[in-house]
Amino acid sequence: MSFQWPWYLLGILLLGLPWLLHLFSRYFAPERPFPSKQFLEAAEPPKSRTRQLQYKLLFTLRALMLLALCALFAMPWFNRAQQAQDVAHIDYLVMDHSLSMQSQGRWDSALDLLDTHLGGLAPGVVSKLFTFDGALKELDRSQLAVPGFLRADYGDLIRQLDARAENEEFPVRVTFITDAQQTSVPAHKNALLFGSIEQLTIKRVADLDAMNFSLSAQARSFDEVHAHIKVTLSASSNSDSDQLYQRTVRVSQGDRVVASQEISLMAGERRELVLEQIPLPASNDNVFNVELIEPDALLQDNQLRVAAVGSSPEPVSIIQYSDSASQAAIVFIDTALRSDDVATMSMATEADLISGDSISHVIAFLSEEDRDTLPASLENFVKAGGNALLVMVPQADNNEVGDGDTVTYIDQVHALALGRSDWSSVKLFSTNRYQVADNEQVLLQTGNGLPLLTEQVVERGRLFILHDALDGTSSNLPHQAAFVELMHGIMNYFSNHDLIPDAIEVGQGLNLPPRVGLFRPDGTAVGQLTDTGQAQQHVIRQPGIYTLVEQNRDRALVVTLNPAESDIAPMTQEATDAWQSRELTSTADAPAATDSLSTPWANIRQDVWQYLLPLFAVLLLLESVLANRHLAIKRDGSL
Amino acid sequence: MNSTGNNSGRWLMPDVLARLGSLDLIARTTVDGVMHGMHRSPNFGHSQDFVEYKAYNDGDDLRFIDWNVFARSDKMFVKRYRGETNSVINLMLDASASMDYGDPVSKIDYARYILASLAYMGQRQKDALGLMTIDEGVRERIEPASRTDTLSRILGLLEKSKPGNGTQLAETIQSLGVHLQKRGMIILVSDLYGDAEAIISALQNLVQIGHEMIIFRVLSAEEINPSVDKLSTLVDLETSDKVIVDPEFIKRGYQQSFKQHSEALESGCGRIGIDLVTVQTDQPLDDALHQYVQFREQRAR
Repeated sequence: MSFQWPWYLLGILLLGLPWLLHLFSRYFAPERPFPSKQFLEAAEPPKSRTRQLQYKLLFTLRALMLLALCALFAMPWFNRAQQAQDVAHIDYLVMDHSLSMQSQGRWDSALDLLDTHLGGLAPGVVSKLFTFDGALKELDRSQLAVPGFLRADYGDLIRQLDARAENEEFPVRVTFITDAQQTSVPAHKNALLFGSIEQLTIKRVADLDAMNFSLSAQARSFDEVHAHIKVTLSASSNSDSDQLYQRTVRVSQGDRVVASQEISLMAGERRELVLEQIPLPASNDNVFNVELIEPDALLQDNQLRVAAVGSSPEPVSIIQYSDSASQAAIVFIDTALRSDDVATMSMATEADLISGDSISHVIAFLSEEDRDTLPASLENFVKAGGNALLVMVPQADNNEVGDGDTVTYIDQVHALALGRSDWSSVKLFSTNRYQVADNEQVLLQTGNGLPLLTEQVVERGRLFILHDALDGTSSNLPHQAAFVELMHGIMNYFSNHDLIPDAIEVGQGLNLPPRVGLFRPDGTAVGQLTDTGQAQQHVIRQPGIYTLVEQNRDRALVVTLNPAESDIAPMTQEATDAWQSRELTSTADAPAATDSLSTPWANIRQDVWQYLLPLFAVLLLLESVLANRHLAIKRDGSL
Repeated sequence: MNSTGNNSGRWLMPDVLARLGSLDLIARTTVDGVMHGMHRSPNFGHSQDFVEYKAYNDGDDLRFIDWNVFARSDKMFVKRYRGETNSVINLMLDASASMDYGDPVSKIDYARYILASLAYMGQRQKDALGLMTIDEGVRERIEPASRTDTLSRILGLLEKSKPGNGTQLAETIQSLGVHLQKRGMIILVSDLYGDAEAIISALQNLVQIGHEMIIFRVLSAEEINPSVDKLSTLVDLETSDKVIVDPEFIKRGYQQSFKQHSEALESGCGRIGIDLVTVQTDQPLDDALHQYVQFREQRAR
């Protein structure tokens, strides 16, 4: 069944029209009393024999015509049945290779399904075996290994399968062996629609009722003596269990247990646990092992290692060129940077910047009229590897916008993570007429096409340019939460100017800058150290504490599991059926958690039509047979 | 057939008479109407009315010689008078199911009116009246008598006679010879369904015994010329058999058969001296009675 043609099958109902017409126009000779039949002769016998022969021919023609009409209406159904028997196709077998497939016998069940399917393939059918863990990989049965730690997004799967199917010579039928994880369904259900694939069959692995608990944790140290560990515990179930479970979270360092706490939660709940004042050891090893004691469905997410991150605020220097900064702007920036101890601000002069020893991050104010030439001191600072935020203060009479201009473009992929902030409330009343340079990237832009935030790469350093006076009058930006998040993001970006964050999830790509090495928890290098000046892209496939070796320091990179894979709640059967039959009901705006792929009518319709069609044929034949038994009389009762 | 031409006839339409309800009242109304329209009384009774002279022959009763004529002409003539005819009249009603048909009144109702009127007329003539209702045999019978209550008994039996069974007219008439030993008049009212030859043969037996017969054949216009314009199922009232008939057959085959049957009855009755009067249920009732009066007059001569 496809999207629309089942409705065309309703046209079969029209075939009942002749029957209804016949039913309502059927003539019964009216009865009336008569004194005697002495002089009467029955009308039927003389003509019936000749008419019988005509009736048989008529009956045959009529039945054939009706059957042909039925077949015509049901062509899509026949085509589908025909396609199902057609051997000229390519069989794609796709094994879900995401982390959740390691849960409680799912993988063994998947292998059984795979072997059963392979055993049942008709001779001559071309079959290809794939695994999918975010990327589609073709391999042999003998190469099939236990799933890793990566996440599967079914929208990505369909996209990659469609791309492959396009290049195949024959139609592709896909059999997807999966645990049908609900969290793997993309937010946009339309991503599940397949076009080049002829047929999708989802085989769900057998699944026992199970619970799974997953951990995530962050550790920070404010004084380099004690650590502050925030543990988040999530529970999920593949059934409708509402039982309350008790779990023990234990934090240890080496063989030494430093904290342990019990926590109760039920499926679908998410709880946070804060462990304070955990002493850091005297050594430099500030890595903690956080684990759940009790086993559950997926053991891989019951333990993680987390490194305590120092939280000493970054020093930031404020420099004014031509007294362009208002006092209000300095207050707004200072307030934003002081929150969460992200940075400490101090005033500096251009001379301090030129000497440069004690300054690592700069926030500079520059009037718009000087925008054509970047101050030499600032340019040299950035070229030397320094980071700067240049606040370009618009002229008072510059490009006034009455009702305020809004932010309409946000660079979602930049490391500043601007997309997480709410920019919808930001109003800009005075903006710069700024021409974006060739080496400049626009990160935020207003509805009038004017840049609000840009980034320039100046040799080794980074330079952000913010086109707002930050005085609270030329815009309401300083009053918005987005401003605080922007300043934090910029400071975080400055402190990790090589673009490598402190923590990532498995499966994420990591661009390693030149002369930066990454080592796995077991000490082996990820990729080769190169001195070519080209960044290298690596996909981290295992969780753990990795080591980043930079020019002048080493630091930890925490790679965690994707929490979506720890949620073992499956899609409903109706949802998977709807997916296979392309009966998706979602819209692009529908939330993933609450939206349902369920269309039970799809199955019902499919089943009903299969029986309705022959039923119609039988009924129509029956009607024809019965009609044949009646006298051939005209509607007016005459013969 | 029309009534006698005067206005009284219009009161004798069957549907009008049917509103009177009582057969006695219907009979009086009918007979009085008929008498009023006639110039000559149909009362042939045994009055002293002179009819003719006849030359005396040996053996004639000397009491009837007109001596006044003999004195004037010296010839002997015998005076002849209308003789009294105190007849025995057997009324017969065909009460078979086929009689329960017709418009504006059913054939059996029309037959009741005729018989009631004749009975009333016969009582006025001092006739001995009897009544038989027949269908597959003789259902009920009142022996002929000239008592004063005979009329009311006859009217009562006519009232309660309902059509019901089938008819075997020929066999029934054939068997009447046993019951009707005393010669007289037989008035049969029937639709005469059945084999025409068999009916005539049975009637002939009665005539041979010495009975005088008049038959009122009551028919409905609808059965003479059925208005069947489409394929219809006709249900026989006597057997409940259903026959699907073609309008074309009704127009041709049926009417031809019906006409042949009627002609066979008429020729047969004429051959054996039976007056067959065909009346329709939509005709005035006095038409039928005039037929009867004519019949009595002819008989009297």
